[in-house]
Formats: sequence, C-alpha cells, structure tokens
Amino acid sequence: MDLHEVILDNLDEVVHVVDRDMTVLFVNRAIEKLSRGRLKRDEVVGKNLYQVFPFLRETGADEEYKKVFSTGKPLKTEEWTEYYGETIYTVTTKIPIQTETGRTDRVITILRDVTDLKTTEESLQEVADKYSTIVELAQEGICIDDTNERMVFVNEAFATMLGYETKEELLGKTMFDFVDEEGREILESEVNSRRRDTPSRYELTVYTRQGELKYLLVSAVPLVINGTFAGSVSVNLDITEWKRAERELERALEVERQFKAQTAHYFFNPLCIAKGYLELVMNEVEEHQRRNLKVIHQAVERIEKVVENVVTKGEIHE
Amino acid sequence: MSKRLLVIDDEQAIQELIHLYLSPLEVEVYPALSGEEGVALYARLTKEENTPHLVILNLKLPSMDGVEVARRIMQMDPDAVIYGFTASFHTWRAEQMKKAGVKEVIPRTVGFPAFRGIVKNILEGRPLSPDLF
Repeated sequence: MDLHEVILDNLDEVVHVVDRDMTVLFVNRAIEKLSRGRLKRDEVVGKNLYQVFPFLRETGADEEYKKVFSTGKPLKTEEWTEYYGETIYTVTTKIPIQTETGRTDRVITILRDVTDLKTTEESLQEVADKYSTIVELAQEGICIDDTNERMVFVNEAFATMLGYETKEELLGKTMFDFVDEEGREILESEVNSRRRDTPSRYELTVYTRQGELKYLLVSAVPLVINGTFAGSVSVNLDITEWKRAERELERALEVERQFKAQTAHYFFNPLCIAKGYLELVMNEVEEHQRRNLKVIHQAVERIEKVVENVVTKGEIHE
Repeated sequence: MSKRLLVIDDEQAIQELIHLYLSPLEVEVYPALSGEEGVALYARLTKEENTPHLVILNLKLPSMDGVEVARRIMQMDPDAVIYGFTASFHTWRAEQMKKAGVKEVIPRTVGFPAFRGIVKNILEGRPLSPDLF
C-alpha cells in the first residue's frame, strides 16, 4: 500500500474513481462507513457503479456523470438518498481526469457524509419553527428590544395590544413612546436593572396609538449574547380588564362596607338607647307592666340580633 | 376616692344612660360631645392633676373620629386607659382604634347592665372576659 492509498483510506470522505463505463476502479475504506458497514471496498472495485448503487440512476447521478464526462468540468452537488431505509445526506464533488488529448476518461468522486450536520440543522429549524409558531399564537405580547430599547421584534399580539395593525410599524419604536412621565420613571428603573442582568416584573400603564389607556403586566429578561448585554425580551400581558374588574370589586366592597357601617350606626345606637331606658324603667314599674316591657325588650333584642348578623356576617336572620 | 371617667360620645342619650348606669359605682363622669372637646378635656384634667382613670370613646364622632382622638390622647399620655364603646365595633376602623392605643372595643350591643360590669372590672383592675367582645 503506497502513501497515497494510506492517506485516502484515512479520509472521512468517500473517494472513488470510475471510468467511462462506470466501472469502479478505486474506492477508499470510507465507503464501508458510508454504507453503514454493508459494503466492503473489495466488493465494489471492478463492478459497475450502478450495479452497486442502483438508486443513483433515480437520483439523477447518471446524468451528472454524463455531464462531467462530456464537458470535462467538475461538478459539486448536494443530495439525499434513501439507503436501506435510512436517509443519508451527502455533498458530492465529481472531478474529471483528462488524458493528454483532453478527453475525460475517468471521474474522481468525493462524497462527504453530512447526515449528522443536516439532522442537527433540521432539528434547529424545527425548534425555531415550533417556537416561532408559539410566539405568533401567543395571546401575550412578545417583544425583543436592542441595547437602545428599540423594538427589533414583536409578535402580532403585541402590535394589536398597542393599537397597530402590523408588526413592522412598531419596529424601531421604544416603550418610552407609549408611556407618560410616571411610566417613564418605571421604565428607566426597570431597564437599568436589566442592564445589570436582573430580570424584572412590573405593571406599566401605556397609551396605545389611539390614545387608549391600557395596563400591562411586563415580565422582562435581559438578552445576553456572548456575555454581553444585547437587549431585552419581554412578555407583556394586557391586564386592563383585570384592573377594571379589580376596581369594580373594590368599589362594590367599599359600598358594602359603608352599608354595614351605616346600618350598624343607625340601628345599634337607637336600639342601645331604647334598651338602656327600657331596662331602667322596668325596675320602676308594677309587675304586670314590667312583663309587657320585657316583651318589648325582647323584641328590641331580636332586631338587634338580626342587625348584628347583617353587619358581621352579611346574613339576615335572628 | 372616686374614679374619674371621661366619656367622649356625641349621642346625648348615650351620655345620659352612661351617667345613670354608672352612678352606683361612685365615679365622676366627665362628658364630652365631640372628639376635640374630649381631647381638650383630657388635657385640662391632666393639667389639673385629675387625669381620668378611664376614657370611654365612641368611634363615629363628628369631625375628629375615635381613631384620631385615641392617637392624640396617647401622644399626650402614653399611660392613658381608653376603651371604645361603639356601634361600629365590627369595622376596620375599630381595629384602627386598637392600633392607636385603645385597649378593647366594647360593642354597643352588650347592653348597659353588662357595660356597667365591664367598667367596674376595668376600674378595679380585674381581667375582662373575652366573651364580652
């Protein structure tokens, strides 16, 4: 085995040489790896390339060889092949070898197996596609700002939240464009904390493009690339309806509190006075009158109990 | 020696009933019909070295309510003994009274005979039953 053959046998790429009859004149050991151990180099050498790999005709490789033989120009292609049920991705370079007369009588083929690379690439793309779908389907407004707080990415939900019809209209704007002085102070503080690599969560009052007031719950994290602050990613939840509901509930509870306090004041004080005088008078009258006053006293106490249940439990019963 | 009692309540009838019911206890009752009047009276009595032994304080009073009155009296005299006596015993303002220094809030609903018993126990330094509140 000469030095060239040793070198060729230690390459990751498959190298083979065919003549114009497509007879394999040489193949290195990498063919065994590419074929996942199904082929030995000795079984390939001397045979017709299409006999060994019938599928090459279906993939158009035969036409490529014809072209290289006829034009004498190299050809580089990328292809995938179903090989024993497995998809193999390859990058192929076909190099013509010409005689002294300029005729191409052999072609060297170099095949690089890029299946692993391609699979990783496809997985990454799948992940990117999947997250892109999630981002676009999200009800929350998602926004990515650069180091100057300018929006470089927003989803549809965020555009709609701020009163814009298209995402593109928001690009280049900052959240400072949508807040008043109080909001500006909150934003400055939160942006500074993100620059110090601290995630933040806060409520922000914004004014949409149409001037409508909205409340957002913002969860933002710093975006750090290669150890450097590159901006922020924020998830924005429109909590305007919650806020309205919260205020209405507070108003309702305050009305209830006031009602109970007023009820207590306007009932308990006169009832307390009535009971107080009744109890005094009961000690100063005849027995038969005392019995009648006692009935009145009991009636007053019953009213008092009902009012107490109303103001302390919100229930009306004795 | 009779005990001095400052009663701060804007209800004239309540003032009268307290006076009537507490008369057997041999107490000197000083009535005040507003918060301002109550604070001023506490200050005057203290100045005269007749600091009240007990303050009975309504919560709902015109202009200055019971919370503010308690706060001012406690500022003047951190040892003041103040008890609330109010129809609004269940409200958060009643809790505010306690935070301002009121020892306990007696509900108006206890009735005057029970109220007299409570006042007697307070003046005699006896513990009060928690069932009363």
